[in-house]
Amino acid sequence: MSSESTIDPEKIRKELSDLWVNLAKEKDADAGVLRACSMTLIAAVDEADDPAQIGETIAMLMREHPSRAIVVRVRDSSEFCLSAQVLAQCWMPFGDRRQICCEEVEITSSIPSLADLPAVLLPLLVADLPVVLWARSQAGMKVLAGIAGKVILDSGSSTNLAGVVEATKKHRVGDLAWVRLTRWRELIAQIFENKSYLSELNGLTRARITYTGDRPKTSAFYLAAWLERSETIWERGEEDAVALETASGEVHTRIRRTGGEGVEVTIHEQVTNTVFANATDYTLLREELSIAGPDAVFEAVLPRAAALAENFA
Amino acid sequence: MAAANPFQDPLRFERKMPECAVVIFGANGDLTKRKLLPALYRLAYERRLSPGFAVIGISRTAMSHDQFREKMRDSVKRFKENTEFDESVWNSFAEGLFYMAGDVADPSCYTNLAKCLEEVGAERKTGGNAVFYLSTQPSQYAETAAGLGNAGLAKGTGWRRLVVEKPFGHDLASAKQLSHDLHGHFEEQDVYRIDHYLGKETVQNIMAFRFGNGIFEPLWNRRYINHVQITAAESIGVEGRGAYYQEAGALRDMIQNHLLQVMATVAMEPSAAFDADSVRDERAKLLRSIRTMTPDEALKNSVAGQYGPARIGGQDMPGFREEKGVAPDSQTDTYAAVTFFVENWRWAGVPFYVRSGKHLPKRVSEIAIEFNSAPHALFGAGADMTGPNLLLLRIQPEEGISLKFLSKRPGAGMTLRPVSMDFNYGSSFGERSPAAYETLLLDAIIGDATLYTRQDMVEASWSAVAPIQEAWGNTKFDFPNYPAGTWGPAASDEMLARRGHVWRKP
Repeated sequence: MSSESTIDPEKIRKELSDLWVNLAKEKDADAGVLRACSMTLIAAVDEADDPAQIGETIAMLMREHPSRAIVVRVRDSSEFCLSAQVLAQCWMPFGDRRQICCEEVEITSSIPSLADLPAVLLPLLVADLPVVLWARSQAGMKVLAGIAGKVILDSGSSTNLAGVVEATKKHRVGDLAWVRLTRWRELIAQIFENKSYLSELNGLTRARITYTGDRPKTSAFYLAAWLERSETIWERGEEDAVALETASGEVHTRIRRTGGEGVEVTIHEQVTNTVFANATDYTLLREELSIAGPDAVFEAVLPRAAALAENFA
Repeated sequence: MAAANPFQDPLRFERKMPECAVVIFGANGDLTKRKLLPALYRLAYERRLSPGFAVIGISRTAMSHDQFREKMRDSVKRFKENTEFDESVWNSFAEGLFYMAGDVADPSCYTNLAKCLEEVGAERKTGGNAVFYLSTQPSQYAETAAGLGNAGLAKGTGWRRLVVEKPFGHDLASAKQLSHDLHGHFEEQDVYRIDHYLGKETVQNIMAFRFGNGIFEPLWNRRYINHVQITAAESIGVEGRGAYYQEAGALRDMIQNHLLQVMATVAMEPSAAFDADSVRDERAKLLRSIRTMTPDEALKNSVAGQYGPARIGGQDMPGFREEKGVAPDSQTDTYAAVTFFVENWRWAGVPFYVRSGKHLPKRVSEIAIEFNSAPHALFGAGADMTGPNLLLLRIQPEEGISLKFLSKRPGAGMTLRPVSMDFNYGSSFGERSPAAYETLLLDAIIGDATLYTRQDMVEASWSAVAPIQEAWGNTKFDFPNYPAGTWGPAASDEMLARRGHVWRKP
């Protein structure tokens, strides 16, 4: 463990190096361990965030997106404070006898110490691989976004998308609120793969979006913007739902949650059921981390969604 | 031109199925129960089917729609593998399951099917699109295709496709005849010959590995590769399928189709584009480049084997000739090994050893590419030379890729030891790999024939094994020649030893 006020990146690098030697000693000498890394994933989290939950999310992500994970815990304190520790995330693939391991560096920083962090992190980034920042902490995002090639945030708890629009001016951005919509969007797209339904699409000028709570979540604004109908009707209800209707109000397609993971899809009179497994930080990040380049659909939808959120009465 | 779906987002969405009905002939058979319906259910569970997707099952057994649904429900529950069984998803999926009793030899079967397709199409909005899946006896393929054609079902308002399972004939002449019979009613582009090996993720990954990376292709030739070994081993025997297997044998059942397709994927030239025609053109070209053996070469470059009784783990295992439905003097090969040569500039002189067998020590399918040794033994005795560089493409189990190379052992002195750099498919992506039938059914419905075999590929692979078939047909083998649970007959080892090579023991 490093001291409580400063961090020496060289020391962390040495600890990372020692980690692999020790792992090789600890594990079955013949089978050894396998080191896997496809990116540097920086998670900027508030100290109040449940560390066990964050740790579990990162551990699960490692299997699909093996990375050097750097978890920066931002402490809401006015004192200078910076500390770090190095650990490994390992798992045994089914049917194999060799463990696969990834590195994890945990850094705790108070808000005043955040300014020192980029210089600490730069030498810790894995060369030639992408750097992604999962920004759960606003303070952390402000300081660390500059060293990441992509910033993933979550507007889910906001009432508007101004912060996301602002972030896109400086960085490539992914929004987990947009990712939450993928299953809804995919289902709608699948329905209109049917040529018979596709031929009816031009007549479906109205979208009716049912939301729970006091105000639609940002995902709902994304959905309305993506559907791009000439009229959107917002209504409060018990379960989230979306319907595509003709101008006279005839419902063509309706998708609604039925409680739990159940989802009911109605097209004209035909009703089918499917499931949307609960979205977790892990499932959302897993999808977003797979998008390495620009996301043209998201970039086109974002300004329209932001305008809808801003103008929502 | 039809308008495009404005909601598609290829960056995030999986490929989508158009609306259609899948008509399964042989709907009461094992393949439908174990593979086809579970694969379709898994696609439904993952929301990859069109909302109005329909299945029409046909077999001779009288059954109501509900009885068929109930039967399929049990099968899906049993063979769904690692997908959850969800009642509400099943109920929605089952609403699209229909059944009609019919005999493929009876013309009324097809007139009834036409009516059924029309009704189901109207109810489910399938747009007249249909896939006819022949999960029947191979002897019924031509008859069924003719029945469909004569009833006007080979063409319709939507597209029509015919999926046939192997074997595509039992030799070159019968394969040509079958194609001729199918083409009487379906265009070649609408005939999908399924080879489930090509649907396996790891076989598809061979192309990604070869053509998606720049570093391997320069090494992929006779200058650097010493030889290639392709193995498909089964640890079990014929498991009650003795009567069927007696007519097939390892050469016909595995090497002529699956393993030659795998070999073609390993050895083919890069295609100009990744579309069905371009990829299949290159595969076909490679298969046509396999040297046609003389009768003498065929005997030297092939080994037939048949397992005999053995005691494994305290259990007595019967020999093939003691299996139910097998003749006591059967000459069927339960093991086959062949040395193929590809006559082109890339591969001239490089042996491709291909083997497949029943009752071998373990179930494993893999491709081992052995590179030439370093031209000069710089490290002499200090190098613990346990073998040259080896690239392993593991198809099953533990799908993945390993590269074996030598590394200095830590410490004083220059002692080398082999180490392995591994890519494990499951652990690297963490996702469930779709079963081969999911991939192939999806492809047939989408109309992507890349992973299906074409007539010229089938004929070229029959041509490659024809001299061996002929030579073996004229030989009386002294079977059994390997005990169950071993790596095959000694003659197979000798075949490699003649060129200074040794079979890997995976």
